[in-house]
Amino acid sequence: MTAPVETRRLTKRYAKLTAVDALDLTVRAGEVYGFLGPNGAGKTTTLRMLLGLVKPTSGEVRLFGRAPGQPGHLARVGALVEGPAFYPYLSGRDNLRVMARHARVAPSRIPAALDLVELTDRAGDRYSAYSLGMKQRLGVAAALLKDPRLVVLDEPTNGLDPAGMADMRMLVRRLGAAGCTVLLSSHLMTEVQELCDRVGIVVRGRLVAENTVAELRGDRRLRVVANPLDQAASRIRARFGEDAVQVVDGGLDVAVAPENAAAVNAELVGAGIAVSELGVRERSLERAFFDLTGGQDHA
Amino acid sequence: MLDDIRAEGSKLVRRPAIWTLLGIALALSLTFTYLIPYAGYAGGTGGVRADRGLAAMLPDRLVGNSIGGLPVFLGSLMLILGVLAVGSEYAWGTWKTVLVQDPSRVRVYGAKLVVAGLAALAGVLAVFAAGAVASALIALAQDRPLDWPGAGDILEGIGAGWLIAAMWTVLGALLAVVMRGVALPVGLGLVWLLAVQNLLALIAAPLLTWVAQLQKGLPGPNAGSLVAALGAGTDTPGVQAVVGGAQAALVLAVYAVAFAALGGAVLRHRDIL
Repeated sequence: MTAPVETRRLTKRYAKLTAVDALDLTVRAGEVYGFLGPNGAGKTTTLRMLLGLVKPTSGEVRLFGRAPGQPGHLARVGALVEGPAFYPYLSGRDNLRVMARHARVAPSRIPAALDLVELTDRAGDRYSAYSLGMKQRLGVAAALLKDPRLVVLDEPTNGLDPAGMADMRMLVRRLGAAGCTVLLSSHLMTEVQELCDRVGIVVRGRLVAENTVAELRGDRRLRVVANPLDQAASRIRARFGEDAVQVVDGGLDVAVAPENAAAVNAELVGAGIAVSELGVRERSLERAFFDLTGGQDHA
Repeated sequence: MLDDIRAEGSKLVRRPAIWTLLGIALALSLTFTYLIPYAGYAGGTGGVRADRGLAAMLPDRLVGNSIGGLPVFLGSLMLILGVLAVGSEYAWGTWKTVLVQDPSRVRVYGAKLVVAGLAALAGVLAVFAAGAVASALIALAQDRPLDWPGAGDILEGIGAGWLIAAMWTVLGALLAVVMRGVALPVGLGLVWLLAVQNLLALIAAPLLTWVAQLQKGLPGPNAGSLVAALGAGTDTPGVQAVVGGAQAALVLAVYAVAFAALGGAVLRHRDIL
């Protein structure tokens, strides 16, 4: 196993609770992988097992082919798990110096890491004086110290203001564009939809879906609002089939490709039906997530 | 491991709480070993340790005076040092930040013990230095000769003091790992050092033979025995010659190694939550 992340039947039990249940996860080189799941689904436990902080009850973990405990298991891996944590009496820069020593990274990496998260100006301030957003950015800077090939980010936009969130998303995009593999756990569906190539959805410790964002969202459909609605439904059924139409929210959900929008419109207008709305309807990732998780609160 | 030691050194040296501990250690040591006894002697009013007289405060008693506090009150501060060095990583959640940088747990823990041990040595040296200054001032004020202990005696005293200080520090680190924090290990450690040890020595041991025998194997009484063998006054709390000095040193060394190994094993096998 030489993929950036690969788990085989990864399981973690706490007494009677199974936090992670036979999880098979694969993150491919160079992709931005979104890790989604309801609260308590086992996402953070999984990330902690990947990083060797928590020992699996059973199963295997490999990062670039190396298991936790093997030398160099995290040599090219950066991580920010469950929020940033640093020494409050040290400055941001000194915190990074300490982490760089533990990582055996040259101190010359520190200015670049601070610059990447735009924290250079405040790097001399004590960590305890930082805002939540600054702490979060310092956490990302620490994750980037090793010039990693894999970055594990657990809710990286937590606590950031809208501008900070946009910056963080830009950073994730830049990491992905530079060929870095990113494993991103997030509770923000739009964020995952926007950033991730593939998504894994975990529910009650089990991976219930793993696919590209587009595949998870499913086929695009047409939304038609027309008057009279029943006649419109009949005409479309006659043309595209009995199963092609569903009445949803006072309109029609039509299971045809968006390229057929003109044909649908012509059919209805030709029959003297007034069309007041015709558009492409896409299932959001959030909708797909709720469909897969049975409507549980997300991440 | 040198990088980890430098990282841990940086954390410890820059931490204000560590300097506060050192300040308290020096203040307590000077106050109860020199200031109050001297005030009692000079004022002729008696006092807590006035019975020791002027001779007990002069430079030739430097070794015993400097390490006499280690079985109890200086030992308590050393235990707090060990707890802070390790337990704060749990309290601040920084274990994960450190460990994802890819050092092994045992290597970081070893570096912490090395640095805390060096800090304990610095504390012992500081107490010796402060005591030397205080005793010299008293000797000069009272027009007494500056008779210092031999270099060998001073080195032996520093070594014994370091051994005791290191043992308490490593015990603090072990408690921090087992209880995964700071507050509970400090609280329970101090209850043991300041209360339980004294209750065993003053109340239980005179009444029960097996408790008296047990004392010979506990860290506190062995620390008391070692400092007693090197000249600490037996009127100091915790200072009592329960066993010989050599045996006490051996027992303390075994405790220090055992505490360190146990802490490392627990840290290595437990999840970092």
